[in-house]
Amino acid sequence: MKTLLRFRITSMLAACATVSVLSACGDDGLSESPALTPRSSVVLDGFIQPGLTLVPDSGGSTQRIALGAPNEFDGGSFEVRNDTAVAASSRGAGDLLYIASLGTGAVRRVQLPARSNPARARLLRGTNGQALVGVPLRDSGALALVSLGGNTFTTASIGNLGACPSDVFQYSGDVWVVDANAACATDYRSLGAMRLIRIPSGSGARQVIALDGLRGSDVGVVVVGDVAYISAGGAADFSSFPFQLLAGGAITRVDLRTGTVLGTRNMPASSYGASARLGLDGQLHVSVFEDLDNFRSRTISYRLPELTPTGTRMPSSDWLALRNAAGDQVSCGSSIADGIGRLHCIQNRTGSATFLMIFAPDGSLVREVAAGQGGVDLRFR
Amino acid sequence: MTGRAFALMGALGSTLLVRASTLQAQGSARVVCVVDAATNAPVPYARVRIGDREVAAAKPNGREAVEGWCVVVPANARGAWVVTRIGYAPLRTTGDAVFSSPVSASDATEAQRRDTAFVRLVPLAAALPANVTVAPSSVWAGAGARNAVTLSVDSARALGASTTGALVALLPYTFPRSARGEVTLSLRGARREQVAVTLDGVPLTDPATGLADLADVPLAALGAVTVSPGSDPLGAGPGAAGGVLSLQSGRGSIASLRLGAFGDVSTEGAWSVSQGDVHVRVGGAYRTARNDFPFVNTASTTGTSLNETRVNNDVSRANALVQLQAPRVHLTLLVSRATLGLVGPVNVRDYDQDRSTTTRLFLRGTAQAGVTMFSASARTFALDYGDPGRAQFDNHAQASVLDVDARRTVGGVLVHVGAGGDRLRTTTAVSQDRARGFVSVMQARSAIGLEWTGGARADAIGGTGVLPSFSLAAVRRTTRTDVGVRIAQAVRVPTLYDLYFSSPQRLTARALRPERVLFDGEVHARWRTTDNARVRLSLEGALVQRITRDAIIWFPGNFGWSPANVGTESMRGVEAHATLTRGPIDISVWGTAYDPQLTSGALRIPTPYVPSLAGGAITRAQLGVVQLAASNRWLGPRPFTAGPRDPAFSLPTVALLDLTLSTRRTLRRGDALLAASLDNVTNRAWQSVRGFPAPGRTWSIAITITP
Repeated sequence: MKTLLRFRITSMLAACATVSVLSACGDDGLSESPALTPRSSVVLDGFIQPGLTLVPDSGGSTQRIALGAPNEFDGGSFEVRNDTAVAASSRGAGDLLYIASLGTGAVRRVQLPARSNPARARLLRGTNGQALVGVPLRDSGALALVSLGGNTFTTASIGNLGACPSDVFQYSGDVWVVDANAACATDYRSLGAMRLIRIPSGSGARQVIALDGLRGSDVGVVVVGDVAYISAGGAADFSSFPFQLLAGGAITRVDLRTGTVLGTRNMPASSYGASARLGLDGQLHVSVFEDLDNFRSRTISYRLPELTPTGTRMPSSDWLALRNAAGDQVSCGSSIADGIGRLHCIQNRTGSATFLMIFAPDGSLVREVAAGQGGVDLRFR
Repeated sequence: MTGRAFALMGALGSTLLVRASTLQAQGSARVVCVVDAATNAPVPYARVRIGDREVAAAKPNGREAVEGWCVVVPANARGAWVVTRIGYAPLRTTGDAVFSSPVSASDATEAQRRDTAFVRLVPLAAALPANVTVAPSSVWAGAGARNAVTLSVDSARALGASTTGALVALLPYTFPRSARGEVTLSLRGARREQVAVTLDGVPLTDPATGLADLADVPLAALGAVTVSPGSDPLGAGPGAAGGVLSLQSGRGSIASLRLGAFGDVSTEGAWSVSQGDVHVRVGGAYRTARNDFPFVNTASTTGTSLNETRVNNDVSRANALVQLQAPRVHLTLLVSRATLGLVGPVNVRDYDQDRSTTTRLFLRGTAQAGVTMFSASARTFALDYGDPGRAQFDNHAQASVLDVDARRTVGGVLVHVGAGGDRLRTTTAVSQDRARGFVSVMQARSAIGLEWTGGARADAIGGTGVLPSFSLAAVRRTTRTDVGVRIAQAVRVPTLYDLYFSSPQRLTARALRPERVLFDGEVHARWRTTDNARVRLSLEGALVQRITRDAIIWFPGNFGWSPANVGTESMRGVEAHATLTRGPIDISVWGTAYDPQLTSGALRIPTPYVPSLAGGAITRAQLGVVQLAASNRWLGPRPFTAGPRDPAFSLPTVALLDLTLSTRRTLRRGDALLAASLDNVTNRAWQSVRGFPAPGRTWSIAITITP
């Protein structure tokens, strides 16, 4: 099994030749930008007219890249690295991987196995530095590794990754997959605690780390140094009203060197969800719904590595105090901060019109700009 | 019969005779068709007596059947005319005939040019003058207060139609679309939930979704269909913001068999028997099709077009029909059950096993007591959805509707009151009930050289308060022209489905307000050549505008996923329709130009699936005993999302051509219509709903026997 796995990954990386859409990754060597402010904010429009809306931080004109028809895209998250964005659609929208060049606007779609129910797509790196896209396949219990070569692509897969593999990352050359341990093939109910599965690139057995504090089907991973911050949205019963919160969202810290759980930070009581983004300020910004009654979006900023709430907060609360010009509280999601402490987030208004809102460190609104329609995620370019 | 009714009959009869005296003899047969004076919709089951002789539907020349709401007047008919029909004021004339020249029944070559007189029955003593006019085309039902067009089922069969959906596609101004076997339509730039579909005046619209599925109505149940673009708050009530598709029940006996491509087998029949003044009609229909047609996938991930085949796209429908018509009571029962595969969009395989079964029941009873008409109707719509691979998703939903109403004339004003209720139950714990009530008044009269029709209506639905609406129309008629103007306000209440996702019981406590048409107006004009012209031509056009406030639109993209009252919808447009008949050639051409747009903040969103420009044509040529019909339809780019106009999110322009050869043969008893069709002759790859390909070139043959 180990040999087979090593062979598959090695073959995959060897097949990763010149990649048109991914050329930005290769050209840039996947170097991380030390800039304090982003070139632009990129909004993923997940509904109505799926696409990417690029809002320059300089205030220039907005650009838009169409991804596909609404019945062929339902991704709720994406990843941006330099000039490349990747996202995936689930089984209900065709099991497709989308790879977009933010520089040229070119978009490629890759057909993943039918009814495999892809989760979020991640940009990975081969052992020779070439680009790969990893996509957990929730209904297949597998991870698809996609490399593109010219107009063709090749896909390999790694199987036996639990009940619902939902996110993937690399650390120290190994591939790590988070199994949400949920019934993702049917109703997404939680089947138990999540698990982190380490798949060694070389010889060695897989390692399974129990994430006892994490429940639900929505997972996201942020790796900073040797620590993985794994956020889980929690579990709720939406089949009848009033909705019942079964488990709140939480973030678990895992020391990747030792494979040990360092601790878990629960989200505030009664809240639901935990969508975490690493800001250019080095802090973790987490968007949650305040409760299951009105689903008001809130943001908590955590100082790493202890996950200590920080920022200008509301009294007796971890929520950031975000205010508009009139001093009213503002609800927005997909929050992420730049290197000078400004918080960027998106808000969907009437007609699902999306607005990018930027707040000063003191929580006052400093900029607001239209950013497409049906926004579901926000990243920096 | 009351004295008031007889007095009205006299007035109507006088008008009828004045108009009739202007008719010129043209052809071989004399046909009288009965239409609604207010809506111009055909009125089936009218009883026509001339003297002591009852006039029945027949073939005027031995070769061509008349429309289902028409009768053939025998040449030797003499005596007073009495036209009666439940729900309408009786019409009596004192002349010995409507027509001024004798019938020439032997002139078969003039079959297409027969004189047709329209008797316009007034709904229950409303003071609208009766009128008789000559139709230049069988797809035109004469002048009215609306820009409406009627097509008979018999004509549609000769054009190759074998389903109600196919019939509607032949009508001008209509934009039907289908994804998974259902057929819904848009009118006058409206969203499909803004269109009311009625059967004999009763809405078929499902209260849960706001839609009516035309695929569940068998053609055998119908006699004609009228499309009436524009708000009709008085005729159809809430929900008729964009227009009304009026289905009229058929009559007589019929049997039909159709075979088509991809396993399409359709059989339907109806048997009619009369005993005195009581007519009973029993019918049924069954259709099955694999629909596993090939298509070109132009949106594959390979970057090249792929030849694929539709899967899980089969359909099986069964219908039953019972109608009873007595002098003072009408009953209609229509039951349908359909099982179909719920194929998904192209490139989405997740629905390859999903199935659904729908069951519909429509029951309506109408009784007349004096000059008051009472109606009661009940409808249910049940949906069973199943995924063999995931039983967790199986569910059942049932929507039910109950209505009662009464109408009569009080002081020359037609008063209509009604009450009803909607109910929805599902296995996913959804339970909704809603009560309704309304009152409307309508009056029509002639003044300052115009025919005026106007009225107001007040609805109370659930907790929405009182919802007023009105309509006012004026028409000036001459022998060859009609010029009219109509304005209206209308409302559309949230569907139960809308409320389910927006009410406090779901995600967000956000109350939906009813959608209100602040202004719906049209100016229309018609012109036609004289009746004895060698080339008979009619032209009609309308300038239209509609402004809607608080449009209820589903915008995903937030956790609530709720429909919401969003901004203001505005629509301006032009509609045009022309018919030409010369010898054996009969052409009907139409075109529309609409600019429907929702304004919400900075968003400017064109109404999905409404083409800015569209048109169609039906050309019929009688070649000896064979009729060749060509049906063209051209649709401009259609946006398929509720987003700003963007070519990347629009369906491309498409032009479609269907051809049908048909012939009528006289049998020992009755006649037979044989039709062979090629649809989408040019084999265009197209979609009416994005992601759901329509078949390419297909064939069908059909035989319809009318005893």
